[in-house]
Amino acid sequence: VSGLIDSYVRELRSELDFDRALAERVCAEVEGHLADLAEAEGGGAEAERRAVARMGEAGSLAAGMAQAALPARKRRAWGHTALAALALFVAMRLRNVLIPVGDAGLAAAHVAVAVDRIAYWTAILAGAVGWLLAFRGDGTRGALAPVCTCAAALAISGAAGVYLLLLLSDGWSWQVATPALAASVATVVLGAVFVELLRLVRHIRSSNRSGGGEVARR
Amino acid sequence: MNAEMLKGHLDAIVLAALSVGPAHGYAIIEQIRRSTGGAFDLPEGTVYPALHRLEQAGLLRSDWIMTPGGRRRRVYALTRDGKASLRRRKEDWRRFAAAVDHLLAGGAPCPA
Repeated sequence: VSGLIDSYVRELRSELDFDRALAERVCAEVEGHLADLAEAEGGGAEAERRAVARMGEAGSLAAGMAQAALPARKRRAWGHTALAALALFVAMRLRNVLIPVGDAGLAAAHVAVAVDRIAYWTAILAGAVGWLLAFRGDGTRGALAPVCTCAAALAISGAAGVYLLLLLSDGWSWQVATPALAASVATVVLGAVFVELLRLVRHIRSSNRSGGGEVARR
Repeated sequence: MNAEMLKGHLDAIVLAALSVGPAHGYAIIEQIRRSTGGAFDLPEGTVYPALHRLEQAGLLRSDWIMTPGGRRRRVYALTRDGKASLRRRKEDWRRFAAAVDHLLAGGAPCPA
């Protein structure tokens, strides 16, 4: 055995490294297919070479697979973002109810509240526009800007919320602990959103690398 | 067969190949080649993205199976939506082919 199939599969795995589950599935499928093809061609190094040639360049195949998997990746990114928006809203409401800003008389607190609200509603607006754009069937680049804007605005809102919490908390009590816990959960979910967005960017880059999914000329 | 001509019909070709029964990627390509007398000899690298796209769209489902030889293969099958989509695509194709045939034959205008 020449190892051509192994090296092709390794290259394919590295091209798809932005999505481990997709890489595992595609590599297992392609490896089996190449083994069948090489066997049908009589086996040996020459048969492996012909089988690999029929499959086409690993980069092109990876681009095609990335394009096919992109809608699911976009749905995941939007799902995480919606969850982060919900977690931030809960944290915001708990903080407002349990530690009201009104009595504190701090100018900085009022500014932070304004930043929190404006950033949050900017995120909701960007999210609504992005949601409409993302699933209209076209594209990839058009869908990325709104979800990034939405996530960035949520991050600003979250940061303003944490700042407010630090500013208004007077000692440690359940009134502080409850919104602090909610803010921690929202921060973790926001972190997951940014990880997902990085993956989405790499996924889009990979799917744009060539005209993936098209019937190639041989 | 010109690759550009096939490009717009790849999904319908794959769905039609699977209407015979569930199959894995290699068997699907063989089925297409056999059914078309070798006219559609699709490069394997184009069929897998189509299979994944159709599965994402809910027209196919897939499962891993073990072959008698002990190899793992992902087998695809049409879903109910896939069967309905194939029926619609067949109808569209018949209308399109009839219109083109009529046009190329230089026939008299036919009713819409």
